Amino acid sequence: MSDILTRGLETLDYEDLVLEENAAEPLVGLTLEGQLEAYEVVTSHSALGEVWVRLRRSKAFWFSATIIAFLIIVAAFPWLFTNQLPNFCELQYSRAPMSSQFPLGADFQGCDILTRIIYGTRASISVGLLAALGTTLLGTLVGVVAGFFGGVVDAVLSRLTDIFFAIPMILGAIVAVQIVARENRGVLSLVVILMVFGWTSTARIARSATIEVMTKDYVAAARTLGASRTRILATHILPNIMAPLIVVVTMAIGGLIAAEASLSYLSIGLPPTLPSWGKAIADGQLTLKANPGILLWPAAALTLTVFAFLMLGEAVRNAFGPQATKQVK
Amino acid sequence: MSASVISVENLGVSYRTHDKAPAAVLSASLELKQHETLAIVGESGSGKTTIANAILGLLPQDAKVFGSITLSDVELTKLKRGEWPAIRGRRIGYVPQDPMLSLNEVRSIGHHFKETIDAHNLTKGSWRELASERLLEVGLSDPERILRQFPHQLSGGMRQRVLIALAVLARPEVIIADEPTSALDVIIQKHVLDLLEHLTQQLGASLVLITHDLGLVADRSDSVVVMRRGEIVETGPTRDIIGNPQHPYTQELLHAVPKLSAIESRVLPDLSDAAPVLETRGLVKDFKLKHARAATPGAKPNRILRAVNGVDLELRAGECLALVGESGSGKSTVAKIILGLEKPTAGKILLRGVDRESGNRAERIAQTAKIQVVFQDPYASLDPQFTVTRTLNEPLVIHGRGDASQRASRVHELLELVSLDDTILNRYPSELSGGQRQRVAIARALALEPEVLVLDEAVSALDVVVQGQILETLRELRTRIGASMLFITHDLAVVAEIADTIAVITKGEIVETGNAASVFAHPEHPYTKELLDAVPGRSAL
Repeated sequence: MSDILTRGLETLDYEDLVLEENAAEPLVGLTLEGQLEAYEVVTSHSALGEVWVRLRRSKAFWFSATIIAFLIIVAAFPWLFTNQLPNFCELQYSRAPMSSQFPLGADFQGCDILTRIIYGTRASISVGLLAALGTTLLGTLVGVVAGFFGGVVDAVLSRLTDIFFAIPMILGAIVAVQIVARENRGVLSLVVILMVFGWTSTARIARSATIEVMTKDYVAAARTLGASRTRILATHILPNIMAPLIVVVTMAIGGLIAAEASLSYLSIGLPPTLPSWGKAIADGQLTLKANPGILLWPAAALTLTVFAFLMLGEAVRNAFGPQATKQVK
Repeated sequence: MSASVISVENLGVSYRTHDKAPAAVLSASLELKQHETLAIVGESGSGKTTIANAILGLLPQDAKVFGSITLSDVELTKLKRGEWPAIRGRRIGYVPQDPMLSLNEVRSIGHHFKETIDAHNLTKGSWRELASERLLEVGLSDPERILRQFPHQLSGGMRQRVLIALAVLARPEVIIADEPTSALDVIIQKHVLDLLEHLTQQLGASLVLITHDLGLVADRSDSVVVMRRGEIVETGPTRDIIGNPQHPYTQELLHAVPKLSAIESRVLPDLSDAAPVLETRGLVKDFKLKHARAATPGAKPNRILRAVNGVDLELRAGECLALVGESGSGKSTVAKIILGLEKPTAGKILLRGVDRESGNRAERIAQTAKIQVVFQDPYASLDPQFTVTRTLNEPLVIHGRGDASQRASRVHELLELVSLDDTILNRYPSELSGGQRQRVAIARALALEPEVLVLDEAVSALDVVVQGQILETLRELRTRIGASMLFITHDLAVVAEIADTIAVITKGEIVETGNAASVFAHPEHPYTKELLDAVPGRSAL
């Protein structure tokens, strides 16, 4: 019986009830209802608390979160993982094989591949996280304003969203880099570019979620209480559209990291002075047959990172459940 | 004693879901006799639909089934998938709950018939002939036309007739109807049930009627099975159970169910001297449609839909005025206009004689706050992210009432008014039962001491026992704080339990108003008469 009490009402099932009747402390004389009441467990949890409970049970979450935590530590303190500097390269070691000095070998320029990968984490993670934050803020702003005000505002913003949605991100980024950020490219300029071409899906989700929440009776009730529009927006609408937004932002990070790598691969992403996986992959093509490691190691790091973030997004979406995330396709 | 057609013995059903739920049905035994109507009655989650699905072999794959179900000579729990077509649709007909969801929208009605007729080889001649014949049988004239039509072209009542015609196509021995009319308006509900009863008799079949409505049970069934949380608590002939229930739960159900006869035992307050609190004068609301539509078949199509047409209401201090109408009658639009959620096309609303639209913005907000609302669905009317404390504090904060400690004591007072205690203060709506949620919604509406409480179908979505308790709370509120209530509902039995005055609305117009007792005793308008006649359990309860 105590076993059931600790597991809680939600895990009670038919077999428990049958087993209990034969147990040392039988529940004879109690109806099913009585038994259920006996096990009623009082807990208090918000919607987010419930999500956390489900997330905690997910293996995919723990697996991906561990990888991501590790990647973030690597990005923050790269010197803990290597004693070399990423730009310390000597041509005499060009394409050196694996050794104690070069655990994964050296690349064409004679730089240690492992060190370049470790420092490249920084670029990938920071671009991915910042761009995800940026697209979410911009997209949420546009979507919520469109959904909340409706009418002409909605029509204009929705068409604007459609226009930006129609521009392929890579193509748009090439043009933008050529025109705006040809000279001083860096993490921030790249983040801005990814933001400008990446906010549309968030905006669409934020808009439809806003419109849905606005039809809810609790919003009507707040209106009859005399709540102002700002108040309704801040206390009722924003908190209730968070679920799909959190899911979409987690799922977007992987894609944004891949986009950074693609742009750097095309030499329009990060400047050559910053170590980047995409750039390393591009360089590795030169001698792919003779020294596949130069390309494969950074590619593996990229794959692992994107995979971890996609897996996290998936786990988060499952934890929120289909009802909260139906806007996310 | 007639022979038994279906016998269920020690049926147990449990679902192996991810989160492990309790057993849906625990050791249920029942018997359906020939030519008999057996009602299975219970609240939501009582397992009544699970039993129906077990009989029909429609349980999900992950369900575990114990015990036995026999149809005359066949053991149904042991049937293989390939053997079901010879039973389901052929020997057991099924009328589903929601006629809006139960027909395939992209197929014509004719296709539905052809599919069923072909599946069971029901005719040597043309399927069209047979289908037409059966449509006439369920009271649908012009069957040729209906066979060509698609589900969205038919009304809810017509769809349910089509579904009944499909269920009896193969002349089954047993018809299982799962809440066949709970999605329909009360007058149509009566016609559909009359049809079902008539057909069952004519075919010599037996009927299993699954319902939550004790009125239907009393009117329509020969014997009844009362279920609660997966268990059968009482079973027997309907007359005995309704007249002399043995189990405390059945007694509670029968006590809680709203009855038309309640009006006879109530003493209605004398309101002749009471001042009017809320008046509506000539309310009109037009909606612009995207496409022109005819209001009634044959009428001239119009792009303007007049939902409310000149509604005058008067609610006096301390009065409970019931605005009664079916879906689409305009009653909810009236409520929205009164609450300030919709602007009327014409007409005005007077609160204590003052036009609510007069005054500056702040005055209008203060005026609005004097009319508060409780909505139908307690699952939608509370913000899921708000604890009970925050929900009840919100109105006080918006209007700057008191400091934190004064507000806390007000919240305590409000909870006490609606018979809740402080233990639920930190809970979220997902941790409350439907009844608790509705009490919190009522408490929120009372927070600002409104002059008028609008109850928009506020008890319609609740299970009968909870409904009875909430009605009791509302009656207490009337005596304790003298609340004036505008009670908007489709359910005349609920009206009989609480209202002093009735206004009957149909097609946007009030057709009858008057003292509740006299309207119930001597309805004048034919529509009111028809509504009253259709109330289930009218004479039996």
